[in-house]
Amino acid sequence: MTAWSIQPWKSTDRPAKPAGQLVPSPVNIAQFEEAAAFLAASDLSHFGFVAVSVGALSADSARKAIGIFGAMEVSSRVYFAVDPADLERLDFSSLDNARAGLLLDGVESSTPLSTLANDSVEVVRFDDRFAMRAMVHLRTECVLEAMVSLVRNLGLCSLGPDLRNGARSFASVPQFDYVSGPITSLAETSQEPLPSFADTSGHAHLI
Amino acid sequence: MLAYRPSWRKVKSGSLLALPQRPYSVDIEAREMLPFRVRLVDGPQDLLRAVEIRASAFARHVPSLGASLSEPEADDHRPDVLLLIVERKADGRVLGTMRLQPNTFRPLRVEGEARLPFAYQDARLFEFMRLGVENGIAGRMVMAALCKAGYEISFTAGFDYIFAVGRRSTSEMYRSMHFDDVFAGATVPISYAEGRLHSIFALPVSDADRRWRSSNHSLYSFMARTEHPDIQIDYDRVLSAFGQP
Repeated sequence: MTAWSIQPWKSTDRPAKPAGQLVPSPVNIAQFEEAAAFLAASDLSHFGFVAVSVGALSADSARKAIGIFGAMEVSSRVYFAVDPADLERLDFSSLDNARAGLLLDGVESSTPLSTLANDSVEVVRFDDRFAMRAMVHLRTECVLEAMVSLVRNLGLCSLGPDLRNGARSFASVPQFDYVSGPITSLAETSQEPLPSFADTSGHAHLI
Repeated sequence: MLAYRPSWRKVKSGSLLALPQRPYSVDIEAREMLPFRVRLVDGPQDLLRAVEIRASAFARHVPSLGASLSEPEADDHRPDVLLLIVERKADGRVLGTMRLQPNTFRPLRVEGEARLPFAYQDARLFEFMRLGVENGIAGRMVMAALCKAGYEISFTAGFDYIFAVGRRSTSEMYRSMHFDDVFAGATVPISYAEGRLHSIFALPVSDADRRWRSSNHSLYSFMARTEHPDIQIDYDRVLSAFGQP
């Protein structure tokens, strides 16, 4: 039996409900029913919404996840966290949009902007390392700023690490709608190899 | 202060949520979900939430005006006035609002600021007022959805012209949407915007589709060719507030 819990994501808006993430995460296909039962039995009303990461999906597991989680009667909106590749590859059209939606997970510099603009996406979660890298690498910062601007233009909700403390950005630090916690070590991040935006194919790397 | 009109249910059983007649000359080609819903403000709590986003949106440009809009205005409570509100599906956060104000029972606010040309006399007029979007111009989809809802409502209720006043920055938006500049570039001090100079714009409702379509306007696909089930307007309320065409 898994010890399920809901990890809060703090809202950066004025007093507002936190968002929640079902943990442990990701939930594998054998745990779908158990996890859904936990959510159904939980009082989720004090969360703005709850995200469920289901890991890499096959067409079958996507159908099963939609069938089980999408049919739950819970007091908060539930989001399936899917990565950009799964979003492009799988069909989520049977998801009952009145109760559940899609969270685009792990967004980073190589995520196509067209994926963010997919009309089934309502929430975007930026990759921690990408967001932290943006604080120490100017080109990455430009990419993040463009993506955050796109998210706002589209009316989406954003999640990411809390960059407001400790970051030394050239411009204003991007603020996500919900944050997981303060960044821990920019110094450690800055030791990683810098991303390269050069592309010998001649195609833009970001799109 | 006037009492707010009796509250309406957010989704009334049997309410007319579908657009009674589409104001477009082309068929729907796509159905698109939005990450937010557009609906009519419903009750005092909703009104306060709409006012909050309105005040913060105006405060970004004119802090003193934002402060003066922190409470509902008398016009917000009129039975012949409706407000739109945009809420994010994820968490219900309000992303935008706009007030729809007709000249059915009293002149438009803008008519108190300047004498309108003869062409607008005795016409059914409708003013987009207090348009406020959380991320300003950056909240482009929210802005477009508000304009689509406002336009479809004006058509359904049989108005002749949509009016809007714009500062320099928002004037560009109305010009790009093919509103006519009523005073051909001249600006007018607007008392309900601290006397600041604004341009006054008007769009003939019956000609809007042709203007947008013939210019291949970027909004046209969003408005006319795409169905948005998340724009959920209670047309019973619209017709009750604004009357039948």
